[in-house]
Amino acid sequence: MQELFGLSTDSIAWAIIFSLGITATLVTVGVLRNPIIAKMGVRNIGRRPAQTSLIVLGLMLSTVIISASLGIGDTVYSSIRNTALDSMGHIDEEITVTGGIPFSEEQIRIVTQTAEKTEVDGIIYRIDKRFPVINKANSRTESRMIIRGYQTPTTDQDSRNSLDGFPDYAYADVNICRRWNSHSCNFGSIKNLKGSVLSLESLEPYELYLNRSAASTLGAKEGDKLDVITNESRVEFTVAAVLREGGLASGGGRKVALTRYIDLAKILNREGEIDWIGISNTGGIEEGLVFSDEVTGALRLASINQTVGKQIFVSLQNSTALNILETKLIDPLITEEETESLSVIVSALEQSELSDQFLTTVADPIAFNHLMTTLSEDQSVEEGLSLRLGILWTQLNELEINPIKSNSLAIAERASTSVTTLFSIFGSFSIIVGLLLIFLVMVLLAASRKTEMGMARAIGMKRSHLMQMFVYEGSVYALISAFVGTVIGSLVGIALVGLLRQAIATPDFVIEYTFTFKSILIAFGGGFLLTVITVTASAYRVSRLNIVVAIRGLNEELASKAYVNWPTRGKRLLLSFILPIIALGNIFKQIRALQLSGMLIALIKVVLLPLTWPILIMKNILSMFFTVVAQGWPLLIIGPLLVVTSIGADNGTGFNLGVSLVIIGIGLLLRKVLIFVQISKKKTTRIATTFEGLSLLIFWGLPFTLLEPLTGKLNTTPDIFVLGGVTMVASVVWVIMNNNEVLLWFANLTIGKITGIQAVLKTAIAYPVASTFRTGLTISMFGIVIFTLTIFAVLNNIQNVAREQPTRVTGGYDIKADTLFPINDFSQQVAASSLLDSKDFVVTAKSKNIQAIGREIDAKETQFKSLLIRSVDDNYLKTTQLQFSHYNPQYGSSPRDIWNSLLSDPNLAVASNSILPSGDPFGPTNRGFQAEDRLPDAESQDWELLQLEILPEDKQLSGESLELTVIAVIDSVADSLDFQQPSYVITSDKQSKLQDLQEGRNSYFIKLQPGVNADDITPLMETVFLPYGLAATNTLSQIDAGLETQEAFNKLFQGFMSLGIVVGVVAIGVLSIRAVVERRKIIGTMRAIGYKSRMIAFSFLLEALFITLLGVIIGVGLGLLTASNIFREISREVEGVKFSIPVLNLAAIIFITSIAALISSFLPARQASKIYPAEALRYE
Amino acid sequence: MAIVSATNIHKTYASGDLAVRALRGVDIEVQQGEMVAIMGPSGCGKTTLLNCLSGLDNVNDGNISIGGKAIHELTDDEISEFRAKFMGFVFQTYNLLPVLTAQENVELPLLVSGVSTKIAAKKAQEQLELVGLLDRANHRPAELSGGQQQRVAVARSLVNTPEIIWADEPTGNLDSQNEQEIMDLICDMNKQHKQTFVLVTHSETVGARTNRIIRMSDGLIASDS
Repeated sequence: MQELFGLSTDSIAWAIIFSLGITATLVTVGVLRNPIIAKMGVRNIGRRPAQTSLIVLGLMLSTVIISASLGIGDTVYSSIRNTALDSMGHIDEEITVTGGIPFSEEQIRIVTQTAEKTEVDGIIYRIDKRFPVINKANSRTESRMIIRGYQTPTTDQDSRNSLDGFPDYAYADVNICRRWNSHSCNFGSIKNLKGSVLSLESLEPYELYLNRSAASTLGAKEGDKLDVITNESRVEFTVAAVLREGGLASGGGRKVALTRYIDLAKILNREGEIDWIGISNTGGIEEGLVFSDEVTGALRLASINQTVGKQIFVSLQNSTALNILETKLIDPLITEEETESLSVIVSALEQSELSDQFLTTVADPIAFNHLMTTLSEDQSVEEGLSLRLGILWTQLNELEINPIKSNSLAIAERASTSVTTLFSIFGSFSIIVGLLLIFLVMVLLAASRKTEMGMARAIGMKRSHLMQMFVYEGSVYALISAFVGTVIGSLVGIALVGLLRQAIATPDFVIEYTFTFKSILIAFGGGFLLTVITVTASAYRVSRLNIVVAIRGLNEELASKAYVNWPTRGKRLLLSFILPIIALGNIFKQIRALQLSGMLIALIKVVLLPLTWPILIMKNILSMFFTVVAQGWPLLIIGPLLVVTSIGADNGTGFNLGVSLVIIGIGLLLRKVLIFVQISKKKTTRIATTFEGLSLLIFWGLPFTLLEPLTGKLNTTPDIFVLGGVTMVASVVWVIMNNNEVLLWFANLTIGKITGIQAVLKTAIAYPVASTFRTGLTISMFGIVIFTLTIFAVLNNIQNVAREQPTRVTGGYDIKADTLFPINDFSQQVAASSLLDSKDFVVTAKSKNIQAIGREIDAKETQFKSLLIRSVDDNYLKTTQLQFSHYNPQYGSSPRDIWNSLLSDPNLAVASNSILPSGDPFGPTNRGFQAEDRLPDAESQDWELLQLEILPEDKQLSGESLELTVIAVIDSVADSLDFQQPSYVITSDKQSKLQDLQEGRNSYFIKLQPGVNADDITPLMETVFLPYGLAATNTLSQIDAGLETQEAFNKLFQGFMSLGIVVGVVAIGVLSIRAVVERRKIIGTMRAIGYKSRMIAFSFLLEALFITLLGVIIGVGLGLLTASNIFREISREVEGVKFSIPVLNLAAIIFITSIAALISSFLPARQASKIYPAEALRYE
Repeated sequence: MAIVSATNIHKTYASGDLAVRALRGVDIEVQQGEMVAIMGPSGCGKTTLLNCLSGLDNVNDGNISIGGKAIHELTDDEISEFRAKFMGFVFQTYNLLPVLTAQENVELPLLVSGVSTKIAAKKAQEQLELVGLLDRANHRPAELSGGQQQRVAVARSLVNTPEIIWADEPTGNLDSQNEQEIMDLICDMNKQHKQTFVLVTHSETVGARTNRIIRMSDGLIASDS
């Protein structure tokens, strides 16, 4: 994995190494300076192994989560990468002709000659096609095996003579072969299963090699005879060998056969034609990647239409494009990729020089896309420029040069980054909870040593010494826990990868668990540093203890901070600005005093200045800033400013933060006002905190679009999910803990009345309610985790709409069949077949699938993007039951009316839902065609004219486009199980401009008689239509399979997020252990007044359950609220979805959490019950 | 009639290789309604004797009978129940539950005995009125003075009208005025309700207000007057 959160993982790893170095230096210097403090801190570790184990367990959980998500990211990256490398072998670039036509003589010559001049060590020509194949030895079939006819160039005259029919110009003056080593002539060695090296040249006429996957499907072995079924006849081939994966035999899980070019060309009547050229860069499978840009650039430069290139350059030069691009280059949000491509264009325009680099850059589709997007985003661009550039670009590239290997690896990188980011975002809840636990553990640890620490302070120890003691101790815990956490995290990763495999693995896509050293370092280092930072923060808090309070063991956990006046704060800030001078002065002072150790320390302080100086300045600025902010009024200025600027920038996160700051500002100001009118401090705090908490809760809990009429549509990123969740949970806990008496009163009024257990309940509730900090923290932990789990549970339930209303996905058809070759008369062939009964086929509809590119007419975006045309017959239009999310009311008021409109007017079309921009921040990126300014939740009455200009693949060179008017958008449920969700339009096959297109792959949609099982029919259809390469699918089974994958993904996420429950459960255990120690004497008293030992245990268990249930109730409540808001958004886009609470699922979450909490507090509770009263009463 | 009867009580604490013989064969009888002070220097075994007699601690040897029940023969649950219904306790450091209000602290022994919350609340209020703290009923211990806390502790010990109240240094943490007030309260209860009080104390003033003083030395009763 190369990137995480937009940062290079290399940079992250180096930053972590640097930070680890700094931390180690600081700790070492501290220890050397004051070894006794270090000794005092570290000695506690070995004293109580059980406590140490528990602390390590608590501290490691954040590392576990980081480690698990990085492991999954690595696994996804390496799996996609390996699949890509495996399926491509030595091919680095592939070249085809735009429009899918064969290469011309000139084009082959250009490619071959350019390849010779660059870092290329192999070039290979190919034609290929999918064929139905039967193994005559056992009658096993494969309906769509890829047969590839390869030819490598050769300078050997005999070989050339033997290749009669292969274009002469392909190997004229070819020198590349001379540079090849013995294996690369075959693009890597081709080996049979025994490991013997074979070659394409050794193939006899009508022999072929099968890759392992093809051989396995056909049950074929060396010597078997295969019938390859072509459009017109059957041709017999002999299996020369079954190949190991590697080289040209690579195909992942695809069924591939390799044969001589000439044999395949003859079968297809295409002698002398080439469809595809593969290029192998110098070096092996991976080594060649470094030359990818160079080779691609050279090939593009050689093959583009230079005149068109010049026209593009001139068009840009004679416009405001340069200004627009220069502005874009200084945009802080610009991506690295955009900078790279746009700076080349800007440089050429600035120098008015049509450079080769400019041409290769504009020829690159991705770079050109950046250019067009930048131009279309700017209002000042000349009218018509984008359109002109778009048209020119379609004429620029005659050849499509695809750096397929580097592109595939980029996809691998993007996928793994997305997966890791997704896991990290969901995991961040658990990480936050884990950090809260570290804080809790350290504060409780401090509480148990309060008296000892108070005494230490009383006899002269400084606050900084106490802090150091904790940091040293914490650092050791952090080190152990980071190590253990990384190991356990990798085990969790392995388990989750198992679920991932269940979700998405196929024979083509093998998922193997991978955890790279770099990720291990990031997980370990990141976990360690996060823990140390949290430990340091808690140590700082702990060190602020009040000596008297600590020694006397008074109830107050930690004393309030002493007030530091304004002049002192100002003085500290000023001193922090001149810290370097002070540090240098200190060196001279030590030199003068001839203190060697002092000099060394002073020197280290100077070395660390780049780190410590800004921190100190920040700390002092914040110290001043917070005092001002506490007045409330500054937030009433900052908040509205943030709100206004965020609305201007369409930034949803900023808007929400701004409003939250306003609420907090009002709360702070309210405190001042209430104290001014002499309301007691207790009441003031209650009123203000209740106002803050409830207001924040109401604001964050509002339906997402409620404020849109005021703010307009604001963009949000997935981080809003984390921020909203944490804020809502914190708000509720804030309100509850500041109104604990109300909670106690309510508890007493309800469950407190239960005779027999009142005494137990009283203490079980009173104790946690009284300890606001630790209870609030633990409730928050459970609340946050359960919040996310609840949302997932509810949303999973919603997704079942495809299962409940399958016709919205299937269109009412039971079988969908795709063919390789057109079937002339499907129904007649069914009728003529002995295997199929035509009475079973109630409806047979046909769709011709045409690859195309399209764009919206009269839109800002003028670039053509991929858009599939499904040209359907009348049967389809008459019978399909697909529904629409929105439609033009002029054409009717029901789905049937719309379909009938298509029947009567072939210039009309309906489009897939994926043409609408998705509002889902977690949704997949659609790189195909998308309509502008159309919201997925717009109402039908707001329908605006949508006209498309579409260029079918066959007509891309001629530029003969067709125009279609889109009158409806298909329901999003229809394609919800298709993870790629390509953009497509459906139109009538009566559309005149589609008539003359070559008949390609077709789809058939079949509705069966009621009672006929689709699973019985599909294999029969595949047999009958084998010559056409027909693959049939039971549409309902497809839905089930799609849903199973979704469910497996959901399980994966739920499993991952459940790690947070472990954190909460450990927190309960820690709290219980602490409570038993703290309340030893009270336990003795309770026993003295008649509590039985089991009542004591019961009281502790109830206490744990009470805290857990409070967290769970808050989490479930807020989760349901947020889920209902999300549902409201979904229901605006997807008609007919129903909101239902997954009672069983939630009950299971509540039950498991409660039981786990009870188990974790069981041992401490038992320990409490075993305390002997007399012994406990002696305890001080 | 003897409400407490103990013969030949031995109690030894073991701490590693060290064995401390806290009680070395104590015989004692306390009559119903009597108010007894157990006095002696620190470490002589006063608190150990009180703990053993009240069943908070077990003995190594000897027999203890309270109200006719041989407590060393009772199970842990039985003795807990017995304590809840038959005994009350007052401690030097008050030992009130800090998270409960004064009233709730006083209610607690009743709730443990299974009394309904309504009756428990009523009785607790009566008891607090008796000790002069009804107006502080809803205050938590941290909001009360030491003397007030001990009065709440006395109220708690008396609320279930026990036969016997054990008090370990009940005035140990109080100033002289509060000491006098607490002793007035205890003496009043003793006189009015004929409840038996066994007090462990260092204070001669406290001892002087009891009916009988048992002095201990080195785990044995040195004098009984």
